[in-house]
Amino acid sequence: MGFFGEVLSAIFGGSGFAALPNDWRQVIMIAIACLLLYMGIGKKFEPLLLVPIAFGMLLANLPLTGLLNEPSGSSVGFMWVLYQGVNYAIYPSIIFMGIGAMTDFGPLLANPMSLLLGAAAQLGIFTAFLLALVLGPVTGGLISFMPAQAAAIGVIGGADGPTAILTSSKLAADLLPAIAIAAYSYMALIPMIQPPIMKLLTTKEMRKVKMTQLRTVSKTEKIIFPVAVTIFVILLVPDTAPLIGMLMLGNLFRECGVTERLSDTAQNALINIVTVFLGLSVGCKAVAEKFLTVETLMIIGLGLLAFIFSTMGGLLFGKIMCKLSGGKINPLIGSAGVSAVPMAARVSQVEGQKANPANFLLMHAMGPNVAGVIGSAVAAGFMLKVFGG
Amino acid sequence: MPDINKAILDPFTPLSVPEALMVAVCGVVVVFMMLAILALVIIIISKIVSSIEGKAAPAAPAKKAAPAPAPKPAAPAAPAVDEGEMVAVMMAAIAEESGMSPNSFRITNVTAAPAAAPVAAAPAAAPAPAPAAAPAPAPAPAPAPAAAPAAAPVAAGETAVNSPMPGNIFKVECQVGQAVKAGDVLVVLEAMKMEIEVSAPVDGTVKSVSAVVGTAVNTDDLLVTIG
Repeated sequence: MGFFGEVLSAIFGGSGFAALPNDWRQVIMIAIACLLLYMGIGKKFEPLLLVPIAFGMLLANLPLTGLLNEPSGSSVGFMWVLYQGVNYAIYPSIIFMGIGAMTDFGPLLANPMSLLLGAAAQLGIFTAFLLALVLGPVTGGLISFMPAQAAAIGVIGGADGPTAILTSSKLAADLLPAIAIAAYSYMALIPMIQPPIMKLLTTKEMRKVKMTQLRTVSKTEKIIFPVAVTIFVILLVPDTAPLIGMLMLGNLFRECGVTERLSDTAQNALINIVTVFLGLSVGCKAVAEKFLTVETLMIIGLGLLAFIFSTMGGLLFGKIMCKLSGGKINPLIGSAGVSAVPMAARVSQVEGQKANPANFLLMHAMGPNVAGVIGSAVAAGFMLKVFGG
Repeated sequence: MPDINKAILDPFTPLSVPEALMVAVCGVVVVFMMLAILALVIIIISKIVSSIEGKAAPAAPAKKAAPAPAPKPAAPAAPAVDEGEMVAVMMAAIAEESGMSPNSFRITNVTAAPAAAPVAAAPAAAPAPAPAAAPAPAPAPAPAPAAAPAAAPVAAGETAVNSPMPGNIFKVECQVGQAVKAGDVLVVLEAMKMEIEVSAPVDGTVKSVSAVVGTAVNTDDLLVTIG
């Protein structure tokens, strides 16, 4: 019987249960992971992302799993392998291909001026960057972000998950989980964040403005667009080749009319597979000693401010365009410049129709919305260039 | 981790206030500049494409403007011209095949090439379900006398409610003969996984409902007429 007891104590001694009390923070992380699972499943906050992220977080914080071990000899941690897709920015690019296949650039082609709204709505990126830098001096050095980290935090304001993940994997890998979680949670909260700001910054008269129908964009234009943008943008900024190249390839699959199957795969099966890998790898980076910090709280706060400032930037520029066009452009489409496609455009539609039931802004808002995707990629590219990501 | 050798500014040492501001301002300017350039590229592409397509135009309009000929039982038989005649003949043939009396439908305005025939040949449901029935101020190849009424989709005193955007008809919430008030929901469209209510612009009675649940509509397709 003594032998049996020894075996039992060896098993339990080497189990996670025995290791758990060593670090109480892991218990908290497991609780947070369960809370996030609840938010995803129960409250439906971006469940397609939050569920894999939260589950990755759960796995990463169970002790002794060795999931994140770097290769040594013939063994390697399972999650470490998956994480390489984030580390080398493979996943965001493939996701961009799916987004390209899902996105109709027609509204943007019909109204190229909406690209400027997409630019204006990146204001939050730079405001949040400045705010993150100011935190150091303001708190007397208690919480201070390095410039590269501040840049990665700022990119949350682009409201574009893959771009935010790409930037932070290059500039601030430690902050990646917090940044990804902030970016995706606020994207889910856009229908709550944006409307008050929209009401605050526009008058009822402005919100009532009906916009004339967009011209129909010919098939040829839609096919030439991705090819021309690829050639032009990548010649101009070679660093954007993975992101812009994949985005435009996906769009070409969609528009060219002879690659239905590829388009279908890119926007359904492939993007789902990669989202699972992305979510798991982001989640598994959320280990207690790096995630349970004041910095995480600050990132969550700064992310919200970044979203607010981006919305404001888009709306204010929308107002300028409204004035310049002699009241032909409804400023509400400006807030759709934050690139959460198509949530932000839906919010513009809902708010516009509240002001005037005969107001249909959805298609007009899709222009700035897809412009926002390009805009945040450019802003992220700028940050990477400046800080050597 | 950022690579200090590739960086323009040191990613690890705190920035001075002017430096930080400079980064932010430059960033905003760069984003605007790039997207403005892109807008320019798009405008140039559009110009080039439209000029190329403009050259091919003489052939194109005939194909493009292919509205399903609205079957109007009341109208006199069409003075069919050119292709119109052909379509009429074809339709008669189809009607014969399907055992319908050739008089069960008439053509008022035909601009369409034979491709349109099957559409028109299914007039069993009087208010044609074909969404194209509405707009298309058909540039009739010959100014046939009957062309005028057909070009105007709704009679005087009636208000056409057109689709504001491309989408699918999700629900039709009115019936012919129903009295509606301005603001009442007539049709619910589904676009981008979002339900969009199309409401009545004026008080009146629903005269016709062209929207059919589950069908795709384009911008300006007729949904409902109110009189």
